[in-house]
Amino acid sequence: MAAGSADIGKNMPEGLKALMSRANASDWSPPPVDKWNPPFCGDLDIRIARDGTWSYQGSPINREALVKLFASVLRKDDDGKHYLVTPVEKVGITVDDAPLLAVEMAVSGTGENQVLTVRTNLGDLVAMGEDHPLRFEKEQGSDGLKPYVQVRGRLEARFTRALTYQLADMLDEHEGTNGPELGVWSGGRYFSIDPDLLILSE
Amino acid sequence: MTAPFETKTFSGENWMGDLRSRLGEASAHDGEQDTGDHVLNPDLGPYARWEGPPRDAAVLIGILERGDGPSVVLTQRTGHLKSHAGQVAFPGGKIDPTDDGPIEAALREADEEIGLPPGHVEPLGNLAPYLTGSGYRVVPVVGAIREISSYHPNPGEVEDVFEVPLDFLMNPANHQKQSRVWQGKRRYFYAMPFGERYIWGVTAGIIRSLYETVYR
Repeated sequence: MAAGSADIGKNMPEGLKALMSRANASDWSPPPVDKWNPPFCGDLDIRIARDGTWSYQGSPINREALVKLFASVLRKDDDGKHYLVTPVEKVGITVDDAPLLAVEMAVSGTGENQVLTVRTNLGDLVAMGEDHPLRFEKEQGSDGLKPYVQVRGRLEARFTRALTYQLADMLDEHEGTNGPELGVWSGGRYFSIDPDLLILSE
Repeated sequence: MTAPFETKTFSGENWMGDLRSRLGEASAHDGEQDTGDHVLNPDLGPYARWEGPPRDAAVLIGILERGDGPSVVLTQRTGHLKSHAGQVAFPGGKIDPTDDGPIEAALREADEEIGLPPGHVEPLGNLAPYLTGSGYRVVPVVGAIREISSYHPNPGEVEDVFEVPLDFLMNPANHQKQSRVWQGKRRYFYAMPFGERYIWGVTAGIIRSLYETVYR
């Protein structure tokens, strides 16, 4: 059974509970999580799966407003871990891959003036460039590539498979210091794929 | 470090003299035998992706001794974001008309890019020109860095300066031959991953040339 907000609230730290009570407030604006430095209060059994779905104690959180609210206080720290942060507490959660998914992409301009804008599964819109860099990783167990875009703070969105194919169609050649690179232009930046990610298994 | 068979290392006190004499012998015997990206890709030939006359360039293979064996100075280029490591390269660039040859160009570029004063470098010799697929004829200048001060990377060009032990670079076990399909053809290049630093392509090819000229 899907967890309702009442079930979820029961064992939550107080600061998160207070936030949840405002999940539907219309005057809500993104909280300044980067400025908060509360004490670590342990881990909470919240997990973001590879497909972007959130669960609490094994049950999916289906209420989108609640997921968006949690996402708004999600922070990735320099220890590489993800935390839900309020002014008074910080709890660790589990993220299987990236917390967000890039699900749609719009293209404007061409060549060096090209701008790629992606939408995430939770409604963020980011234009890739200096502030929202793109990076590539190799998919374990295949020669596939996994693109990630930095959305806010250290939080990243992983491209869905369909969007990865769309991006792959846009890759072009660029003469680099050490030889030809493959990559894509967006926002005045050329995002290249390290050739070790393109090596074919022999 | 143990050697399975006779392995020549440059850790000895006289690495500078060894390098100088081997570079001298090599240039006397081989003359100006070119190397380059085409060595691993003979079907493509030199300057495969460039039409027009080759462009002259020079790089500095700067070697220094900090007391734990000689190391080679490399840079990580700017031009990519911090989250994406830039290309690893030797200090260097085009030879200007005002440069008196590749040595002066390499030393000038090293000064501009990492703040290494030319007076601190003692040139030991040159490697054969390395012809890149992008149309450059690069003369690698081998130089001993005699005076070690801190680097001053020019942020417009260089993000980071780092050193790699010469013994690591001159160990053929670290010379990976990698390939990928490019425009329908398989192309080969050298790669020498060193921790987080991915050394490949032209830079790895020049390191391989140093190995083949001086070490093998």
